[in-house]
Amino acid sequence: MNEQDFIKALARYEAHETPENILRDFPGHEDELRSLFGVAKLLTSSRDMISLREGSFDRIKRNVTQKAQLGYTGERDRSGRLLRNPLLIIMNKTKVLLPLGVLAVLVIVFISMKGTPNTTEDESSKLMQNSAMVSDDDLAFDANLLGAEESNFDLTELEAILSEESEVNASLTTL
Amino acid sequence: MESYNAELEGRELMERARNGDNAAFSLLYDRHAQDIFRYAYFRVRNVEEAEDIMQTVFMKAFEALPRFQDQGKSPLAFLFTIARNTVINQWRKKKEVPVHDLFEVQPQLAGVVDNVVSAAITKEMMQSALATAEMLTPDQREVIMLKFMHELDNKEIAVVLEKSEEAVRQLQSRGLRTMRDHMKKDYDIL
Repeated sequence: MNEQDFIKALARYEAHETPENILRDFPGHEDELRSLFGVAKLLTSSRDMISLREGSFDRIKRNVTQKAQLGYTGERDRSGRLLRNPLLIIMNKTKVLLPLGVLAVLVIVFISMKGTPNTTEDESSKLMQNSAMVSDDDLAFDANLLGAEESNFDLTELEAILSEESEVNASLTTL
Repeated sequence: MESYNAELEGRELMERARNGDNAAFSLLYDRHAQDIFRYAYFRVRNVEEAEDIMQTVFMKAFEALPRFQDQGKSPLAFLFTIARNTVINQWRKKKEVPVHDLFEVQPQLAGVVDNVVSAAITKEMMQSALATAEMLTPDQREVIMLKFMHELDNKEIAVVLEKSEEAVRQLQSRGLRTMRDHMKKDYDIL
């Protein structure tokens, strides 16, 4: 019996057609088909030989149900997958906040850039004018800024040093 | 909690479960727990391991419920796909290749026997059929098991195994013939 015929016969068997009916349409192959259907029947019948142990069905059901109840209160990602890892949960939550954060930073950068003066020609000339208006007083040396006051530098001491130096110079000239 | 009749269509149950109805998910478990256990048992040959796999499958199924709608599978094919991947992952983790010893069936329930070779079908023959299935190629064995022990149709098997329906038909035909050739030596009635 060729494979195509057997596939056809098997399809009819699976559709619950009676074996006798099928066998009639494949003369000369009755024995072969009968034995093949027999093997199929053996397999179908043996399925009930394997079964969960007593108590296992309910125990696993309890575990699964408990998980299911917990699962619905758990954090899920966009595709609905339950998240167990705390890091993933945080990331999942921050995923919503992240675009907002980036947007906020961009707005702040934009505003701060707008506040910075651009050195255009007009502004440069204004700056020049302003610098010309600076008074001498503004440029006067402010001893305080150098901390002279704090150092208590003694001018008389300086004069003494200078006079001493001039004396040395004079004596050197004489020599 | 809502109660459901047995005729409620699988897809509708899945849809309700997906929307947070735990009673619907519970009914899915009631309907398919044994099927998933059997599948796992035939793959790992260990009751405790098969039970663990079954539990994992339903937990994974629960987590995957929101994605079910887009997959277009029947609930059983959906569960078998998860079961198959779970078994494969388990083997990968343990770095073990399953050893196909002579099959030992744990007779917990008597098989229901009727026509075809009715009088000849005995527990011994059933065990022999299961043992012979071990001689098939992994693909043939999986198709034969999904077909005759779990009653998935060719379309569903094709989805679970990610093969064409034609490929499934051929694997099934060749697998059955190989089994029949082996069994015929021991049982004249075949």
